Amino acid sequence: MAGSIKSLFNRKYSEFSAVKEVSFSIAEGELIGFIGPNGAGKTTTLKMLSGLLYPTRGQVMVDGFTPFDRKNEFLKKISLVMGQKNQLWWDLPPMESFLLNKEIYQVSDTLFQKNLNELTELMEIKDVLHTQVRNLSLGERMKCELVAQLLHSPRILFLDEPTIGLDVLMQKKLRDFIREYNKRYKATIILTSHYMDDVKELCKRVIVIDHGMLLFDGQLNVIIKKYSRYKLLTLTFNEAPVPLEALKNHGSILYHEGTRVHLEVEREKSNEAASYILKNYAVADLNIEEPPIEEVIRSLFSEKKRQTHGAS
Amino acid sequence: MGLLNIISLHFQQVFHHRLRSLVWFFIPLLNNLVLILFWSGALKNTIADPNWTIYTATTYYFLLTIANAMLSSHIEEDVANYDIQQGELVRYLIRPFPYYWIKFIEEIPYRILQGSYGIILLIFFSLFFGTYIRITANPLILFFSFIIAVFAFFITFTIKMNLGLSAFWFKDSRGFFELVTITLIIFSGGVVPLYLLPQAVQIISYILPFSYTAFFPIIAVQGKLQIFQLFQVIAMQLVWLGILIGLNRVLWKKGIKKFTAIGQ
Repeated sequence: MAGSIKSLFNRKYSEFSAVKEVSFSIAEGELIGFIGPNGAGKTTTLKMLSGLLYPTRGQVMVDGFTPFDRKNEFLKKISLVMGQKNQLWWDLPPMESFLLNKEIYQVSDTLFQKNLNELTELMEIKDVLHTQVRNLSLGERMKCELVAQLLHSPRILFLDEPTIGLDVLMQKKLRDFIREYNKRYKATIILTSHYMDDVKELCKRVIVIDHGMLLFDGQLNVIIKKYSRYKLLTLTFNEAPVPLEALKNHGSILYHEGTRVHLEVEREKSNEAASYILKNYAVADLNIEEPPIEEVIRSLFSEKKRQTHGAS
Repeated sequence: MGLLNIISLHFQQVFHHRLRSLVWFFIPLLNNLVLILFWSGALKNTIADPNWTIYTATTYYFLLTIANAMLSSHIEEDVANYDIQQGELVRYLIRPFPYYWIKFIEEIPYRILQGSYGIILLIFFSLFFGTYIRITANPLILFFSFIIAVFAFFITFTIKMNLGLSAFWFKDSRGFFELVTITLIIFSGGVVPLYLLPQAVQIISYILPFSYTAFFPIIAVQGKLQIFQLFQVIAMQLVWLGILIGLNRVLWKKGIKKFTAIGQ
């Protein structure tokens, strides 16, 4: 109460930097994963790249344009798709929003028809083009959102959580579409997603940020090698009982049921352990896998946090 | 052609909500019917003023209903609450089309639809009570009245757009919007024609932009202005439009740097 009264006369404002010390460059045609926890600054960075936000410091250049100038030539080259945002007319069929975008982006009739045919075929939404958007399922709506944003053939695509809220099957379809679009049109794509499967399946290169700062920029497999010290051996033995005590000498057992065992082994020793087990035991099946990408990213964050605390 | 297609697509969106639009039309209509009733009583017991009889009063309030429906924009809350504060502005900013003009195009179908309700009502009323409706038959005056009406819409639209843009700086501007709206109603002749107000108030109202949004378009259609006066009105409208658009550019350029698109 006292604080409220005090604030009537003397209000304090504080500045908060959503993004700082983030520098990177992306080549034409690359498909980049932009990852980080909530509030890391991913969306803010995408908004700066697409010209929505004015960067108070630093410089942003996209294809030779300063995004915040929002020149028409620049806006015609980009597209921003936000999974949590509906940009279609809610009460009209998606086709009307497509036609509006056609006029706004000044797409010729021939190109519009060609793109519409290709995209609706790729997305399998031909039969919903004349259904009110409000009556579409979330997945169908998201597909229509993507099509609406791609009709003007953008060369640069900013995808902010495009698979959010979709079921696994629909996520897979969207991922396939994004991959195909990147390949077919040589488009540069920057993707943010909380679903690591999106990143793992689509992006060779990832940029990791946290608290508005860049933590890692490089190949996804480099992160995996650097920040995962273990590999996962999935073993299926011919018959029970399985030699649990002997397996413990090679690593830790994460799971065991019947003849099936999940064994976590140090990365450097994984090949050696696998060949030892194959030589000495009757094994029906053996798989060596990388740990889940979520775990790798988690260990990257905790290591960076340790380094920061150590430094301070 | 492209622009016409954009406008016609927005018509579809508005026609989808035609009943909502009709309900909004009834609000100024009922207000003005109450005023007609009030004046029909008041004028019975006062000395006749040739400028303000039951006929001119009825015509004035019918035309005011059409002006309110057709020329008066209400986009300030849309711009402030949805676009700026809730971040809907994002979907306009990523398109290669100016925000001012796309909002203008979004507004046109609403105004035409609501204005059409008013014109239909006026025609219907004239069929039964023709003597109560007295508008000019001079085609030249009607032509210039049309031009004045178009500029009137531009002025109210730009005033309301500028009000909405204040949301770049203020979190809750509803009180301020109400204050401006009430001022606009009084000084645009929304309660009584400005020539019935005290001399000093008349002078102020002729200087302010509000009188050029409803009062002058109405008395122009009533045939109360000579041709040279119509030109004077158009000149004042252009001056105010220049000032308001200039202000709009400044507010936009400064405000957009403050846009955070939070939660979007």
